[in-house]
Amino acid sequence: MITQVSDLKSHPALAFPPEEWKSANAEERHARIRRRLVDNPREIDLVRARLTTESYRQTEGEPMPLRRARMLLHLVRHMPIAIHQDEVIVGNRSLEPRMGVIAPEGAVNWIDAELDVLPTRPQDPFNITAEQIKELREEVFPYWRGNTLEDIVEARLSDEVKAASRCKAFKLNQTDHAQGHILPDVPAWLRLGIGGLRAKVRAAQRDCPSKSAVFYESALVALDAASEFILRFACLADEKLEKERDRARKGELAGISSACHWLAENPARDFREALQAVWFLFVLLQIESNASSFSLGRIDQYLLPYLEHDLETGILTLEEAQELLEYLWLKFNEIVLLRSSSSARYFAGFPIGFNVTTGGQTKDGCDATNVLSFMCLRAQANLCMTQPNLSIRIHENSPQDFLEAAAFVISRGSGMPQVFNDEVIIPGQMQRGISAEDAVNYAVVGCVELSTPGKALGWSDAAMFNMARVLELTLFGGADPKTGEQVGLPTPALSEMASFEELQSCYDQQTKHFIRLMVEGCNIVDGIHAEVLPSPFLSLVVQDCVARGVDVTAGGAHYNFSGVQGVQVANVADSMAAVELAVFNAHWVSGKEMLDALREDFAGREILRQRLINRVPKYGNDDDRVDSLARKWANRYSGLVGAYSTIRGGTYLPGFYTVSAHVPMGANVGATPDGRHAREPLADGGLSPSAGCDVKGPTAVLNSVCKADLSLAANGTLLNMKFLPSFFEGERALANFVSLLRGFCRLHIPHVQFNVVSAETLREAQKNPAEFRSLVVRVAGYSAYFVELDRALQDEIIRRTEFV
Amino acid sequence: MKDDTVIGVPTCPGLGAPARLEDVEGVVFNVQRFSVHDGPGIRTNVFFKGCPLRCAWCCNPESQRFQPELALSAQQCIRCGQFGDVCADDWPHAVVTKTNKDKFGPRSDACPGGALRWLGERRTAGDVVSEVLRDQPFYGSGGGMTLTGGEPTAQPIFAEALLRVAKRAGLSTAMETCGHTRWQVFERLLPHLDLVLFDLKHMDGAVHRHWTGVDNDLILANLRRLAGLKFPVSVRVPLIPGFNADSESLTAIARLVAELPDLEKHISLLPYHAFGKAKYASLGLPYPMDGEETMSPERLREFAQILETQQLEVSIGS
Repeated sequence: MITQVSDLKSHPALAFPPEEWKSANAEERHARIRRRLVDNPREIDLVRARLTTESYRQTEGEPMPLRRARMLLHLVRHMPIAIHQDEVIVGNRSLEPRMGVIAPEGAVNWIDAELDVLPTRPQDPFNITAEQIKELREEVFPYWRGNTLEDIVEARLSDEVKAASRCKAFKLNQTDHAQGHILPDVPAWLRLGIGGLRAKVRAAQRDCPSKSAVFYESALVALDAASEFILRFACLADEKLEKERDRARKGELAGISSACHWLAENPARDFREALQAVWFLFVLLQIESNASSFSLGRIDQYLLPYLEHDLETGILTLEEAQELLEYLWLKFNEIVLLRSSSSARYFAGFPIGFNVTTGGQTKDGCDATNVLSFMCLRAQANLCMTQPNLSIRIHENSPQDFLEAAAFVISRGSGMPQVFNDEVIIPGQMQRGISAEDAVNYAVVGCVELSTPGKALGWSDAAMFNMARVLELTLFGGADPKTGEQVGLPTPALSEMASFEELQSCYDQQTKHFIRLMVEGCNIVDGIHAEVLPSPFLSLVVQDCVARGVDVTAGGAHYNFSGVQGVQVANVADSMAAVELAVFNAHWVSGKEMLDALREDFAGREILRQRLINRVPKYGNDDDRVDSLARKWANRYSGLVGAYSTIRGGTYLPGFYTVSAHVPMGANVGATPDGRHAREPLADGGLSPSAGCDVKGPTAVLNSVCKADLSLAANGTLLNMKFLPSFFEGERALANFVSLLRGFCRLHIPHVQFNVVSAETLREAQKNPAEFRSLVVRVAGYSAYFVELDRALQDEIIRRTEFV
Repeated sequence: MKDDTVIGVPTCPGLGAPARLEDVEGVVFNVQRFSVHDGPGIRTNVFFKGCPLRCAWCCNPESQRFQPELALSAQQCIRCGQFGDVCADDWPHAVVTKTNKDKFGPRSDACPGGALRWLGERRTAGDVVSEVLRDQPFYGSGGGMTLTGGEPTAQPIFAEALLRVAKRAGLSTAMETCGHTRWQVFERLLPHLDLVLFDLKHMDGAVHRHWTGVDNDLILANLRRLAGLKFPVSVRVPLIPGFNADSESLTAIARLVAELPDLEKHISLLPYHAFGKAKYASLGLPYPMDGEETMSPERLREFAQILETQQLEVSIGS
């Protein structure tokens, strides 16, 4: 099929036309690579730990940014690299894909504690050998003890913050590894190349104050490291080329060689070099930081000129371009993050957060959908993998063909693309002081976090606040019902309260108290990152850092925020409504009886529990009696959080999403008045109703969710919905689904994502995991292989309400 | 007469002074949002309670009687013991008597699992339409409200009020009907409808009477008149084993649709299913059908082909 570029400009849907939807499938070579990725056992790679330790030993006494830059240089010089069979886009962080990499500067204690159970732990296991364990314990860990991020955070947090964190009112994140969560300035990286960036650093260096000298020196070392890394691949390609017999492969290796030789110093010239340059950027960022959620931003906008150029000049056909794009797609599946057992429960199934944002609007407010937007959808339909995390932006004027193509890809069941709503997000970003031009250019970080590409350090995963736990503590007068320990403010217990208003006022006080402590903790962690983990390479691709000579971790970015998530609105609203009715209005039970029931997990009180479940209005049914409580407390949380400032000169942003944290965070909460048993998961997602409580269908759910002012939740929100595959049968199904999306858009809900899979299939996969290795499901803001999730999370996904 | 007053078909003498349209009451047993099988786009179905027919295969037995009635869903009964005996054990397997109503009715308020409940509620047109309007952001250009049941034309004043209130709010409207009503009712409703989903069950009057309780002459006459008006009508045929799932019955139906000049040449086949079975038990009613519970896709295809030979387009499901 020959498609004219001019046709593609006016009809971008030609890149993924409906007649080709059903036959979407991976090319043979892509399928081979995919199989290797899915089947590859996860091993531990010690190279980074070993080389980082060597480098730190060599640079003792030097300023930290320079030590970090030298570490990067040491790593890229000595780490093993590979050009694997079938690869066209090259670059690796570990020798084999999906290896667990240890960055000892972040933490060694938890790793040491978990070494022996790494292969057998329930979530995210990794194989490790006895020799590796020995090397770590003898050569690596002793050097780091007491000096890692984890150790310093532990030493500096105040007792009050630690106590609040211990009682699980909130969980501070980013305490044991670099924090990532950023959209680097990919367009600048492509436009300037390494040489251009070097010139920019030198120019800024000339008239800089002396306090920035270290910053610039480190920046130049980091650029040398980047250049050397790319050059190594050029040389490796040359070596392989010499030995290669197959003519076609020889051609490919020559292409790799020429691209790498060029990119080692210069900006990308064509689509293929641009893809290669993008991947090198993200590998280098991962080598430096070993962190979650370096995201790509609006790939369909910044890669478009390269693609159009190649199509116009005949360098590539559309099909060749599609294949190349999919080689990059596969690459995103090579990097996983080794997390602690605890962290792996909160972020289960190896999410790494290579988020790709497509669609949306141009800076003058026109629809921005183009041929690459469709190609991204096609790549997802063809490959159906967990990365990249594909997101589309929609708005009032999104084209029908784009939404139908997206609906089709959603119907295939990988949980992608997830859908973001310009109509609420853009105004929400502007309310936080982001310029109109930047707000319209927003993109998604990691799972569902919102940020400005190339200009912001959003610290979007700073902490999670357990709203349900704080409500539990409030009901018991600030005491933990399990231990009796007074962990919160001393306020009256439910048994002493005279009215529902009093409960709300006590909850408000406890919420304020714990938010204050959470922010105090986040600010301490934030400051330690700047000391311990400055990121000279990342700072090169975040605007204002170079101009100001300030590292990104120290506030060098143009915008600085910290995001903290409220978990979980549904349980708070349902529990409040239950107490209001059962204790204060209908007098089913006294306050004391309710507390007894909760303390004893409803033992012997099943009638009460059933009434609380079945006879009290539940969030998710478009019922104002309970939705008004969801609105009240979501808005209140947003307001309280938004009033705090970060130490980098920005503000705190509220979010409502949990990743997979609703399972472990539920495990920290006893029985709740909504009838939930002790330790059971909270509602999923972020804004989703409790599983099974929404009985009026998806439109009622959306109507419930939209009642809170979600423009306030500028860090991001998450709503899960599950549809049975049978919903998508019939010729009108996709159009109806698009009507649902358009309604979602009109209701100003920031995000929604869909699992399209039957409970039957999932149960089958639990029984025969081997047969379902490639079954991808949506967890929360990211997709994962179902069989790689632990049983509790699998069960929770099965329980979510299905729409037919 | 002003638009916000009821001009109503005076079905009942002494109806009183004309009321506002919004205040007209009817009995509804469900307002089902996000319905995608009864008319174009995303719709909200308003289920009327009460039907002049008693189709043996009916999957909504709660739609048949006109008054609210008590139902018990045994699976949801947690055997709470609050009332001494266990409701699910005592729930009669015959038609619920007045004594039973007296016994169980008061329990529904205290039933913890929501197993015992009243089906059907007297609601005003204004109240129902305001619920329908909550989903207006999803209707787009195609979707809207569908009256179904039960039989909407069996509560004509309420149907008219609902349609007029909905139209005033700019909603697209459809009505599913068995067609068994006086033509005057259609005349009153059509000006406020965009589409009629017309159920056509059988061409043989005697068979029709045997399986549904009524003759089909009124139904066929109404369909002919609707077609004559060139009103948008979508013909739907429930496909019932033993009743009309055979070549002869379907060919007869197809011929009628083919020969009526202004009728859309399309039929939706609605295959029989037994999902309603549990509802019969919950109402204390015997399930009137026996035999096969679902039809294979291959058999459905064969039936579709019978219709297609009469140059009709066929869709299965809706």
